[in-house]
Amino acid sequence: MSETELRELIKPCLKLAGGIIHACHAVMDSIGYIDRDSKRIIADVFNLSIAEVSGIVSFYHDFKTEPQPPKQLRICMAEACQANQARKLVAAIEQNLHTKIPCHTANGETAIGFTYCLGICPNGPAVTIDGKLLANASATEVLANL
Amino acid sequence: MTTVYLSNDSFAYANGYENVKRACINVGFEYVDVGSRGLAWLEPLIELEHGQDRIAFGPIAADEVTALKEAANSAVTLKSHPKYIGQIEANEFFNRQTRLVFRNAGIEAIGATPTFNTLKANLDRDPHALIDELETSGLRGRGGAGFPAHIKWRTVANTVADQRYIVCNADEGDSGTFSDRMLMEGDPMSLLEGMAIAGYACGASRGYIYLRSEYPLAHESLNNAISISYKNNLLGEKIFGSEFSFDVEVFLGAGAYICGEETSLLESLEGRRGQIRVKPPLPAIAGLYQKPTLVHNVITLASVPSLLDLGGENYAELGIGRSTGTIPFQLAGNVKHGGLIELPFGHTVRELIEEFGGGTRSGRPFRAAQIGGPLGAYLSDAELDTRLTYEDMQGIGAGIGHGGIVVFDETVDLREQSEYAFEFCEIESCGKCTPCRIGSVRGKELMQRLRQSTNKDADIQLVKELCDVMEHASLCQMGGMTPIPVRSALERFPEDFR
Repeated sequence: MSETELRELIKPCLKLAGGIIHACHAVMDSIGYIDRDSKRIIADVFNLSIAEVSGIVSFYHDFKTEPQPPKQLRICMAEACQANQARKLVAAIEQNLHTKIPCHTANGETAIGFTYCLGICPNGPAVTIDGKLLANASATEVLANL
Repeated sequence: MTTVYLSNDSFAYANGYENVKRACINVGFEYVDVGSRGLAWLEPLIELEHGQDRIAFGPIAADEVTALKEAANSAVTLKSHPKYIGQIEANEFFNRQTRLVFRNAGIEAIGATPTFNTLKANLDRDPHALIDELETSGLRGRGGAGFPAHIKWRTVANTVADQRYIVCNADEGDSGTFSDRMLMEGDPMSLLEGMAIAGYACGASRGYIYLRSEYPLAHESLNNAISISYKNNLLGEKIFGSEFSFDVEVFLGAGAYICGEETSLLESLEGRRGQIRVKPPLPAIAGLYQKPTLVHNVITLASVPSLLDLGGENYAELGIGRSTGTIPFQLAGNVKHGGLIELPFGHTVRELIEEFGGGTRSGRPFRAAQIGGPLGAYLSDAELDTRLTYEDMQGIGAGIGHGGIVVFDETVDLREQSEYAFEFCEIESCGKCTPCRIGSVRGKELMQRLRQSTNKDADIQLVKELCDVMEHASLCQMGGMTPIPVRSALERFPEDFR
């Protein structure tokens, strides 16, 4: 995406309350991460310093500053899922992949991370695979989707 | 053509909704997407129109839809379908509830009959009379703090300003809670109507819904409801031809539990890091952009239309003492029948877990329940006969919070859960104050050390002192309430720390 296109993308956010958060979402949605160049452009459009923009980007878990793998697996580790053996699910996945979560899979295709509450708490353990919710997740089912 | 009502709630999505929907189309059902009835273990739930009744089946799998179609013409064969539930209204999980906030959820498609009848009926009333009625009802904030709603409303209304705001806190981050999500997915019109009524009563012309990014379906559903409302002049300029105008937009959060704290939320909504503000001033006096702002949880605002329809006095008849009205409890974790249970205050925790929940899902004995999210207390069997009211819960050092109840069986390790309580605080602390930012890390380390500590008594004493510091010196409830689960675990399950 060219600088001009990026500016056009985020300009409408100027009119919204908390426009800079909208702008960061827009950059995440179209580029996938917010690098220094994007921060510079956001800072310029919103009349802020790059440091201020960096402060905002680093505060929120959703905003990433590095390119992300094409697939995302997020495992809910909040209490209700723990009550339904989310810890065992994590251990089984870690054992199978010989790694510690959070991590990227060996082929670099999937980012695996934790999340805290997806709102389907009686149906845990809950995971999302590329944003799609899965209830009562088993290690076999999750690994088959990687 | 047979009409079926299919739940398209997140519960249903997570359990195969999309395949079931495809199967419904393939067999020629006329299907209607509706919200969830709240019986989470039966999702995806499908209700088939049969004469005047709706017969429910669940959890329905895609390959069971054909048999449903074949059986659709006869009441006898319907009953023999393996997933036959019968009428939801007759189901004992449902028929013992008092559905006020959730009176519409799961009944018809969103915006099928777009009317804000309660707003319309109240638009010729004096705004102060509306607030008086709210006071009579005794409604308290459902987000967790339980603060009397009318005080906030009156403060916002009486503070002189050129602009006031209604902000809906939809950053439902507490584990074990999902009533906000269910309402926004299943009946967003009630939330919008509640916000508009609050806007009329408080003299605010603008509302924001601060929605957490983990709820994409709620985002879609809210935007759809807002667009339907504008098309029908339920939002926008001169609503119902009156002088009252009200606009609502959704603001999407970006993954920060702390933004559920009202001042962090306002910081975030103004486009900054979601770090908390020191109170005072209260948001009701100087909130969003330093203007008087009514910040309420989704359920508090969505309670308003049904409350006004019922009348403040009748509403106050429900519940016990100063805990009036109904609250949608959310039963979750290791429980056989989890879901949404709207009841007047005053039932016991045991009734919910045993009578509604049917005990643990694993079949192992019950050991603990955490009430009110990650900052809520762990209860043992000995406390389960406590009534669910703000006052009774306070009496045992617990809180109702947002109404979430998470059940654990005997495999739970409360030392592990206490370590997690500190760890969660570490991950989600906004970093503004030291007791929370550093205390959470030290607490986690202490809990890890307790696994094989050589001086457990001294370490436990240190944890208790740390809890005192966090409780008294933190700027907000994140650091201030993290000690609650830890202390309750230490007190009620001491053997896990030995």
